[in-house]
Amino acid sequence: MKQHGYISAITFMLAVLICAGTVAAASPRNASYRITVSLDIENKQLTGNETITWKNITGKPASELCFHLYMNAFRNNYSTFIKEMGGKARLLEKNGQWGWVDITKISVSNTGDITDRLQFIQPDDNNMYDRTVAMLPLPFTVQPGQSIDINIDFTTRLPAILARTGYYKDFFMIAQWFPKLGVFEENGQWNCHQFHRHTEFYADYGMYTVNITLPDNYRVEGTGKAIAEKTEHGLRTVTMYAEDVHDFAWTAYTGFLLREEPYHNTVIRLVYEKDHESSADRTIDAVKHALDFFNEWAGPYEYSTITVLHPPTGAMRAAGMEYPQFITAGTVWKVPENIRFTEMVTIHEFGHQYWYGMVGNNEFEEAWLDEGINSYFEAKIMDTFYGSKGSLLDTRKIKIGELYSARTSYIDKTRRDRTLRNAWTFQGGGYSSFSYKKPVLMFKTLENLVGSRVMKQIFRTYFERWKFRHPHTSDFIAVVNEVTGQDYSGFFRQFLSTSLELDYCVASVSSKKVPEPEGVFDTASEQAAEQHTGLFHTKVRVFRKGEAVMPVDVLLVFEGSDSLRYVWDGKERWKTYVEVSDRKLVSAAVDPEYKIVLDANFTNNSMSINPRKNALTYFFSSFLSVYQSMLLCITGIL
Amino acid sequence: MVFKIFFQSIRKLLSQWKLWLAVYLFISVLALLAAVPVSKAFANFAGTSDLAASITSGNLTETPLFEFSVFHRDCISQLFTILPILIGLTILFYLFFKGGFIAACLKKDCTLPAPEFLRISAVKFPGLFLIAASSLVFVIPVLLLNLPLSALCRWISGDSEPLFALMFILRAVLLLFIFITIKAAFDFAQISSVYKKGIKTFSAVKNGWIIFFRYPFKIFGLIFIALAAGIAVTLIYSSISRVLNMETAIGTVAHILLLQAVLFIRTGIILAFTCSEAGLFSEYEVPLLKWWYDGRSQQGISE
Repeated sequence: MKQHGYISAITFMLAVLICAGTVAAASPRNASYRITVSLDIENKQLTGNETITWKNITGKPASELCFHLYMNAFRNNYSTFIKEMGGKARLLEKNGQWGWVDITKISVSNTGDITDRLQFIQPDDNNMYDRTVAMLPLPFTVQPGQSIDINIDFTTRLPAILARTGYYKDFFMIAQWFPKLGVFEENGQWNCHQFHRHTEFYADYGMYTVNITLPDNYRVEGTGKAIAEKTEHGLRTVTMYAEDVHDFAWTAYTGFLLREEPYHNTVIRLVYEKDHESSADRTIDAVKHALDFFNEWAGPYEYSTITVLHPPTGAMRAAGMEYPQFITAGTVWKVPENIRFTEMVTIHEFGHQYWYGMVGNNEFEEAWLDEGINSYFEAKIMDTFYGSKGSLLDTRKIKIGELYSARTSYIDKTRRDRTLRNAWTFQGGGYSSFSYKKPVLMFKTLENLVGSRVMKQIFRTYFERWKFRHPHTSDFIAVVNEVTGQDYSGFFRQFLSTSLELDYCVASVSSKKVPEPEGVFDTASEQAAEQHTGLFHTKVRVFRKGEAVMPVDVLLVFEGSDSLRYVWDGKERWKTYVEVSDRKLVSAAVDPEYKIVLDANFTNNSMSINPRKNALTYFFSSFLSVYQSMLLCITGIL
Repeated sequence: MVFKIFFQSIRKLLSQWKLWLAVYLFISVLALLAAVPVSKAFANFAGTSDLAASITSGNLTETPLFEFSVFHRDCISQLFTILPILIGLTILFYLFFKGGFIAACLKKDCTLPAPEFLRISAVKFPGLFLIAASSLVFVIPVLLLNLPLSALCRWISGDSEPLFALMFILRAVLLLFIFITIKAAFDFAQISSVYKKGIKTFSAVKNGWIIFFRYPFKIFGLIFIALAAGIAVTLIYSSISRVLNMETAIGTVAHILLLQAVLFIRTGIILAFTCSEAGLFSEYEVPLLKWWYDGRSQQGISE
């Protein structure tokens, strides 16, 4: 009773603030949640009640509601998620640590209990065992502009930690835990996909007020800010509040340390355990770098806090995930400074505050819009602040930068898939290669074409126009076309909607002295021919090996460091350049500066008249010594 | 004392320089067989490419090598086919010559005419091969022991990452210690087998272990000296290679010569270590054996 009164007071206070117009709504706020939940530590169970205030902001009436019940992905081994994992869920099978969510009671506005109307649907794969989406036919129609209150009692059982949710000993990562509305689209249909192995989220913006009750030795961190806290009978109730967000996740643990650091208008909060102390400064620095870069390249961070969690040892399955105002990174004890996995993950997940968080594209259907753009930003930030050659790994002998990493993941499978497809339909490692890595290469190629200044303007415009809304691929392309003043639709069509490979090469080079004229000439032509005698006849043939087309630079380098540069539109399969001059050709190259990083093979981009013996000798001797050392090692063992 | 034995073995090795050279050359020829196809394929692939030049910077993880492995998988898989053959040949060759080499090292003046060297090598080869093969009886259980050991370390360290790191290092050191022990014991088994006529594999292995446990500190002293010498050579190599400019022809040639010199010296260290084990055997074990056999000739090498 007491608790109820306290919650009502806070809700009332917030309502007054909003009505008084002191809080300017950045988003449509058409799906707001007031949740009261208690965590049963022993049974790993959440018992809660939520009231969703949903407003139909489309022009079409809604006669049903659709809910995500993500936690049912871990309900049994017949769920779509587990099936996509290969049907094996050893971790969950062990001691029956399955996870699920049940709606025990639901009512909409004044309908009374209509739980019996609830039915599970499987819009993606017709898997009748999958219960990650529920549909509720309404006894009335929600007209455009009309608001309704949906009241739900639910129980959630947390699984052993998997897919960034669940528990490990006394650590709890609580995400995808409450019944959540899908998105009612302009076409009058709900966009509410099942939970898949490779899909993330899509939801409307709103305000979240979440009252969490749990034993008082647990610290709670998550989306938003704690605006009230109360301890009674060994139980702590924390009220978290966040606005203009589309999800709410939280974590609870007995062993958290907290470091808070204000930076410009944002408070960076890092929660971690003792073993990860050595990564604390590095993590906060990474967030600062990201904040600076995003501020310049996209726009200001619109929230006042960002909470970063390094999951404790044993709970690494919670690492590397984004939720509004709350990210999970991941680190290990005393990770060497030249291995920047922690920084990379932190920057990547922070980036999602923009691409997924504030710009809320549909991650199920167009994952590249957040993962691709965000990976490009991650690469830019890592390269800017840690050096492009070894931004990820920087040892004396081995250096790995972001661009190399992206090419590694892409060039051996260029034709395997396209980027633009529903995320759950990718096969093998396709989701990573085509939603994350290929877009990095595509954006870097675009940046090399239009320049950094224009690229920055593209993202600033896109962010400003689409923050707190749901953009699609066409919206992004429209921004690119608008900012550049050129039509890049074809560029994006090639690299997003098709699996065409881009590969330009130098097919042949020759540079030979023009022979003395022999045979029968008339006087004029003999004189003309003699003028060419002693000159070099240079012929370079460039070739388009792939199916994708892009204009490329062609560079012919002559003795004495003279050079000629051409621009080839790249449309024909091949083109021959012929030059007659007094200088012999040394080498020729297509895309000599490697601007088109989407090119599948860099090694065929250039060709010299003479082999580069120096490099080959070095390579040969290195290989030889590796084999010699290996065989020598065997003799040492014998 | 162990220093003296090691330096004596270096002297002996210098007198056996032809064998030293032979081992180095044999290994180099086998390595060439593996390196040529890969290098040839690379030459075809990137020999005229601008990117080939970046290889000389010494950073082999850059794009060219990766793209080479992507576009020339056939070449890499070919390499995996040829490698087991090369490894097999190395084992056979080295075990064959090891018998003769040990016999030479057991002699005070380290002289062994070539026909005698080859005869002893041929006679002792089956025994040495069997001893080397029987070492697997010890090696395999140790490898299998690694699994429960790893689980035990995880259990002890619990959720403490520093403890886990410490346990990992301890486990690695323990395993290394066990493998070195096995290696040393089987070296002495091989030396016993060369020294004593008609000795059975089992007895040789037993002798090896007895000798190891009789002189553990001396043996580990020798191992330490050999390892220190190897590390010193590596350090000298890396300091010199740092100053070489691989982008020039002279720098590349100098680097190749330096690499080969290092490998030649490493071959020498391995042989010197074997020789010093033989030296330790003749210094301490042979007088005991002579006393045991009451002066009767049991020496396989004296026949």
